[in-house]
Amino acid sequence: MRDRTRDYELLFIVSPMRSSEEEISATIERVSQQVTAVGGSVNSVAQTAPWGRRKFAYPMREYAEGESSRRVFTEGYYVLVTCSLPTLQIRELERTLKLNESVLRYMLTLVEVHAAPAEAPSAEA
Amino acid sequence: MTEDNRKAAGQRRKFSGRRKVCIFCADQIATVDYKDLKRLQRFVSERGKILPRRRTGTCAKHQRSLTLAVKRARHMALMAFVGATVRN
Repeated sequence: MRDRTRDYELLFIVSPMRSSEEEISATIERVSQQVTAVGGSVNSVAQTAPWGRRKFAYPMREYAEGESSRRVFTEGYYVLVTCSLPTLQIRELERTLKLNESVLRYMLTLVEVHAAPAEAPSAEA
Repeated sequence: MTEDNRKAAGQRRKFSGRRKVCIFCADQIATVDYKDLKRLQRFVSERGKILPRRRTGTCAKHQRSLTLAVKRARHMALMAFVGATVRN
């Protein structure tokens, strides 16, 4: 895979066990630091309107810190981050997200740029 | 025999109604966004199952994109895997 920078969207859920205001901003800060640590840049952070505290569509069971069995969660704090990331560092970023105790789940998706015809050949190359 | 077949085919066409146009093509959406819940909700049944193309009129390209979007939304607990009627 060729190393280049592409635009991504990262939606992650902050555990309700870490839902005080400082803890949420600390988590967001930590994730954005990790984005920059792998050589990417954060373009925007959204936690209002549809995001922020939100009830889950179904109860989800996830591991909580220091507990051997999974705990049932019914709500969480959603944060949507758009960022540019070097493609070869995605794995590293995902690893840190998985290790992050405050992040229940995350979804890292590529923002597909439907380029103008002039740009199309470079996308194929 | 052949006449019967023709008749059956004719009747079927009558029931199928007018041809549906893919909503995503009409709205010029290239790839379906998993965060666009309002739109996605129209393509799942009451139980949360993804509706077939023949029901919604989505084109093949957008149906593929749609199923991925629904599955992503489910993972992030934005949509249910199983409808509320089943769970209760």
